[in-house]
Amino acid sequence: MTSRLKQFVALTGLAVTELFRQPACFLLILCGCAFTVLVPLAVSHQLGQATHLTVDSSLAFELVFGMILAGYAACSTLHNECRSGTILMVFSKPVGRLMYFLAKFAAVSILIAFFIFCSSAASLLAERVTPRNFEFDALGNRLLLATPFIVFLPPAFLNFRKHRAVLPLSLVLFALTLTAWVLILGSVDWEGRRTAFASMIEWRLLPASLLEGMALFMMAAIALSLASRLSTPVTVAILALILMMGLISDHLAMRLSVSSPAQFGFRLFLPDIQAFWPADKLAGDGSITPSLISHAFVYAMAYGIGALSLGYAAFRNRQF
Amino acid sequence: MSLLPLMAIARLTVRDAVRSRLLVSLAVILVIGLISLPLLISGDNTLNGQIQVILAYTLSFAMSILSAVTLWAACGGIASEIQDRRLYLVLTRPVHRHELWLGKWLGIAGLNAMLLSLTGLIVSAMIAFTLNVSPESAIAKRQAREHFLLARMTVIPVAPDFAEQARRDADALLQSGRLPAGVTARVVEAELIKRYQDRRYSLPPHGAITLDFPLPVSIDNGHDLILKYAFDSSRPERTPVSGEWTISGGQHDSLVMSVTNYPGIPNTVLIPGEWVRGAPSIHLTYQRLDAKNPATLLLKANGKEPELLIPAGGIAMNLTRGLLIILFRLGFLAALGLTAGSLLSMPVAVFAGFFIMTLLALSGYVETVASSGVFYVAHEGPAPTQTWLDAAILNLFKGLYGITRPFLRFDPVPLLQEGLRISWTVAGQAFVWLIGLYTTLTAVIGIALFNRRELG
Amino acid sequence: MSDSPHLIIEAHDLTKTFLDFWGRPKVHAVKGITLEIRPGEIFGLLGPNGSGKSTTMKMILGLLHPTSGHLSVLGQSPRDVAVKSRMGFMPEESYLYKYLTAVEILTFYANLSGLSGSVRKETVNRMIEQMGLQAARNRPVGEFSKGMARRVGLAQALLNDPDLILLDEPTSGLDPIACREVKDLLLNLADRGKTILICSHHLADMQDLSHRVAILLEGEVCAAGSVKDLLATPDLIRLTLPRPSREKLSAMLDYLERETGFRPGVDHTGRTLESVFIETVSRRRIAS
Repeated sequence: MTSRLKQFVALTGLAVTELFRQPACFLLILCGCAFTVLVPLAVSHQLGQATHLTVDSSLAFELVFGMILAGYAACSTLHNECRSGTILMVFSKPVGRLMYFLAKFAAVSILIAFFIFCSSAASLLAERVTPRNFEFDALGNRLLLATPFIVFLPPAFLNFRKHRAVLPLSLVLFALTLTAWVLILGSVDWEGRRTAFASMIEWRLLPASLLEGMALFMMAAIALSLASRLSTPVTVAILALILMMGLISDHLAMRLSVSSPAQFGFRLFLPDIQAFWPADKLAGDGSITPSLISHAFVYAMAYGIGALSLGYAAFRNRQF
Repeated sequence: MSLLPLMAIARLTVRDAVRSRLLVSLAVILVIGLISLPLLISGDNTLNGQIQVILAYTLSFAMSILSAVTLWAACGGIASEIQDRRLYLVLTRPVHRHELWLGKWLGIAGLNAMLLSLTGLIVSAMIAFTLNVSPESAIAKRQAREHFLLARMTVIPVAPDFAEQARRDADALLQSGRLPAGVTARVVEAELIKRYQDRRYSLPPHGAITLDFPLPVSIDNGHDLILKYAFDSSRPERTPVSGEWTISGGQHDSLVMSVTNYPGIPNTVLIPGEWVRGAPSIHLTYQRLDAKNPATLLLKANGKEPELLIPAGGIAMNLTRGLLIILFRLGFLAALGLTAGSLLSMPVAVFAGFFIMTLLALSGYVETVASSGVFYVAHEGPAPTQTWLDAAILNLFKGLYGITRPFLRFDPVPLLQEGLRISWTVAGQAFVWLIGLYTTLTAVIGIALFNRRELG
Repeated sequence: MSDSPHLIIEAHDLTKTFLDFWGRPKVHAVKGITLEIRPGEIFGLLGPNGSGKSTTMKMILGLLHPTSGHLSVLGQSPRDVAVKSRMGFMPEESYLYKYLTAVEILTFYANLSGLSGSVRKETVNRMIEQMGLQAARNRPVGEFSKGMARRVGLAQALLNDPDLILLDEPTSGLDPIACREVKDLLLNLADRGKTILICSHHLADMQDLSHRVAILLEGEVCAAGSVKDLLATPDLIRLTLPRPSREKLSAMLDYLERETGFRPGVDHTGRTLESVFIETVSRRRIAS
């Protein structure tokens, strides 16, 4: 048992390391968060609606970029290994296919979790620096402007002096920097005066991100299943289609008669992404309740297991 | 430059896409999307609305998907072939690098042409199908055919020349001393002209307005003309407005049509083609008949004057011209992707390409900043003085707007959605700007980068 | 320095240094090598991994630009596109378009080489036949075995009847019979006046094929010359004769020891494993 666990950890660890060193994953995480924190600039003229638009946009960016990240990561770690023949070296060791497949899912999930962490922090910051009543959050904007320098200069310096890789360190610095900014801005008001911690941050966004995160884990499961056979562009295109249709799944299902097999099949195979979309639930003073999260969790688990099972069935007998 | 290697590389690009099932996958995704989107989106439940949904959503969907895939494929066309080292065998042949680059571009353009042709066929088939199976009345179907199966050109009413009057009034104002110091006559005249033009369209209670529309082409095909207009009201309550259009100048006696319209909502009036046959111009007079409505109306909602849409061609050629413009846009994106792939590795090249595409898509926001000159909302207190950073960023946005504006000018979807004609002149302009300028400049940069690149 | 017209490849003090992101030297792949390759000879570039063989070859192909030094190929700069019409290159791995068939790939490269019409078709068919790929001509090369893919790679290198042929590990992945056939082909090409530059780790093959070799180590030429001269041990000779009786052999050895002061070693000559393999397989094929 211990040896299997060690194998699993080794496989997952390698896959995670590889994913974190890829420029594409780095750029996706960075761009998703950058777009989020830039939203307040675009909504600065929307009187009274600015925070609402910021929240909606940041949640949308998290979902879309997370979907692309899941698709890319799944294909990079599974499909490309199959194509290049690297997988042969793994299977020449006493490693079962199921363990390999699950380790890949674990690696993609870790990457998605990291992305959700960064994106949540970015959403909190974006909401915080959104202008209200013509008030400009000088400290917040300055901190955000300083972020690229903090994220890139130290790793660049280390690369220059000691030839260390830039990307992994930049990612870590990025996550730490965003966290630090949330903590700082959570303790000061818009004029820069100290205030009770957590009073200046819209904490409702955290459960919202968590809810979306579950949808992203579902997408990761679908992506990995597709990646067992399909290449990156096709996988991401199918994921995008599933995402779009999942967001309007209720509307689509209503067009079919209630007790028909078609509707049953529809509901079974198409994930109800609408249930994980938190923007409507946050409208006004709404919130994401624990019961909603627990229901969503059960749904995501069940769907994810189903998707992974289908993916493993496709992968299990694949010949290389 | 020899055509043989260029065409060989173009053919290889197409063949590779076909054999790798990329083309087939894309075609399947397109077909599914193009057919299912209009079925899912019901619009306003009218036949016209349904056809507008078909035109707007399907073409936008095709444009989005093909833009993304073109960029991806173009980046991979060079970057991933360098990574796979397949390019080594090509570059050790007597092939110039620019021939390789252009051959790739031509191949991608060929693929896009095939997929856009498929799009055009599907859209045409869907419109025909919708018209045939619709349960709407024969009149509604005829109206829909008139509206969408023809390409219409827009004619705006002849504008009176207010220049002389504005000059006189501006002189009088300047001499009266009522204007602030430093205001020039030219500024006053421009403002006065704008005011007279707006006043021309204002309709007090019982008011009337006459519009003259010259007909640049002889209407003898029997198709109806469509008058499109909308009102703005001076009062917040949007009570319906009743009035009468009198149409004169055609072959027969004047036509009178009673209408009831809501402010803010676009309206149309159909003028029978038979009535207009051969006439060089027509005159439309609108008379308000709502005695109890104290609001003043402006027959120029959202700054748009009334328009007369006259038939000037069929949908087939119009759709073809629209698809050609989309092809030219995709040609530019292909050049962008190949340039990014010439410099950067595969995933980074895709990001760079999408970043530029996003920049182009944000051109509307850039336009707002550039034209309004305000980057951020001022806070309370005296207005802050502009620093060098503000000026630099503003000029950057203005430059960006100047670069992106021609690109976004050529978007055929809104025109096709309204049944408006895309002329060969417009298509030609699109070719000159998008291919002649944008693509060529990008290609020059891309080829230069590719020439310098070492393949180790 | 002028390009000698009788040299196919001429390199003087050729250097290649790879730089890092900051523009600082990262790897000195090639350090001032000097090579002269004459028409009609088979020249071998040997060396351990990382010695600069592939880098040198890529500079000759114009894929990399020398940092310093002089390099001319067929009397011109390697970056001149026209010179490539007289060159053929077979890389170490067959980087082929896996969805295309052998015929399509060869037709494509023939087009790039400027062959057109019936000449192209005839050349492609001849190459397919020469490489023994008739049965698989219309299958996608993604389904080929490594050896078959290598043969496609070699075929595309010879399509335009080049004067200079560059081969990177030409016998890698081939069975001994195919290996022998390739070697015979290369010798034949050299007899016809073609110049061949080979990078390989298969020393036995290089010994069979090459007229001259250069041994690279850490980017420098540490030995160069004809194979014969490099292999010769000038102070020793070998006599080959039919086996005498024991007494006669003993007498001969005694005599030689008296005359030279050195008692020679005696050994039975044998065949090579390659020749045994080829003989065995050929006999079997003929029998079946």
